[in-house]
Amino acid sequence: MAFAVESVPPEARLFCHLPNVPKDFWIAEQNRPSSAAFKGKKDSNDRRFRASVDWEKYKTIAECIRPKSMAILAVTAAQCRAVGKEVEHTPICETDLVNQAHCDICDPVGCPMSNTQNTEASSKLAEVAVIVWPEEGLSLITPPS
Amino acid sequence: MSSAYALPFTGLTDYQENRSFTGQSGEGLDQVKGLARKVYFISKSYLGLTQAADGLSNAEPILSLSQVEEEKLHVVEGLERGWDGGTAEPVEAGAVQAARELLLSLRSDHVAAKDARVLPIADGRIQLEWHDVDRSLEFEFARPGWVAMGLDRSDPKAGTQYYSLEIDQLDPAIISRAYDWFVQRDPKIAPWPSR
Repeated sequence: MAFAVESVPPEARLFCHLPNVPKDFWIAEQNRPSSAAFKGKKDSNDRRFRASVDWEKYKTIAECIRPKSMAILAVTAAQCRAVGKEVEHTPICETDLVNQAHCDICDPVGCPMSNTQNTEASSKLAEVAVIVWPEEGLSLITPPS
Repeated sequence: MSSAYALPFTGLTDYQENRSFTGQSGEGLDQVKGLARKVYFISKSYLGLTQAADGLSNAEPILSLSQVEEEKLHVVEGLERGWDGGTAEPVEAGAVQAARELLLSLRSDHVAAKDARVLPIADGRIQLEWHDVDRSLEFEFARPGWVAMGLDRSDPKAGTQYYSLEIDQLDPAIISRAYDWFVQRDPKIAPWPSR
C-alpha cells in the first residue's frame, strides 16, 4: 500500500526531532536549537539537501517523541519557504518502516543550494523553530561552562 | 574549564590565573606583576616553549585540546548510525580529524578560547560552534573545507545579521579572524565582507 503524495500547505506544522546526545544541540544562551538540527543529508541523485521532519496532519507530537529525544521542534512550511527551502511530502511505506507523515525540508527542485546557502537557511530555521515538547521548554538547561 | 592546558601545581588554568590578576585591586602592583611574570614563565616552560618570553604570539602550535573539547569530540565520534533516532550517519573519522585540526589551530592563536560546542550533522559531518547571548560563530565541515558562519543579533531593530564564508582548506588566519570577530565584536576584523 503506497500513500498518496500531497502538497504541503503553508500553515502546516512540521515536527523536527532534537536528539539528546550531544547536549550541545540546545543553545541555552539564545534559547534556541543548533542549526545542525536542520542540515540534513545531501541527496546523491539530485544534490539537494534534505532534512527529515514529520507533518502534524499525520503524526501527533507524542508520536514524534523517541527515546533519544531532547525536544520536539516545530516550523511551518511557510517558514521553510521563506528561507528558500521547499517542503516535500515523502511518505515512507517499507516493510520495516511506515510513516505517512514523513516530509523533507529540501532545496528547490533543480536548484540545489550551495554549502553556504544551506548553512544560512538552516540557521534561519533554527531561529524561528519553537519547542512543542517538552511543554515547559528547555530554558532550564544550564548553559555549559 | 576553558583552556587548552592546566597548570599542574595549582590546578588552575593559565587563563584563570591571568584573569585573576586583573581583578586584584588591594595588593601592590609590583607584587601582582611579579607573580604574573612567574606564572607566565612557568606556563611557557610547561608548554615546552624555548623562545624568549617576548609574547605568546611566538608560541609554537598548541598540541592538545582542552579536556572538555576532547570529551565532546569523543562523544560525537562514538555516535552510531541512527543517533538522531532516525537514519543519521555515524560521524566520519575524517570529520573528527578536521575538527581537531581546526580547534588546535584556533588554540595556537587563542590559548584561552572558549570551549567549542561539537555537533554531529545527519550526513556524518561535524559542526563547531561558539555562542554568546547575541552572537554566534559556526564552522561546518564541508569536505574538505569549511563553511564559516557568523550570526550577529546585537541590534534588535536590524534583526539577525548573517555572514558566511566558504573556505577550501583550513586557513589558520581566517579561523583566527573569525574568532576575533566573535569575541571582540569588531566588524573590521571579520574574515567575511560586511553587508
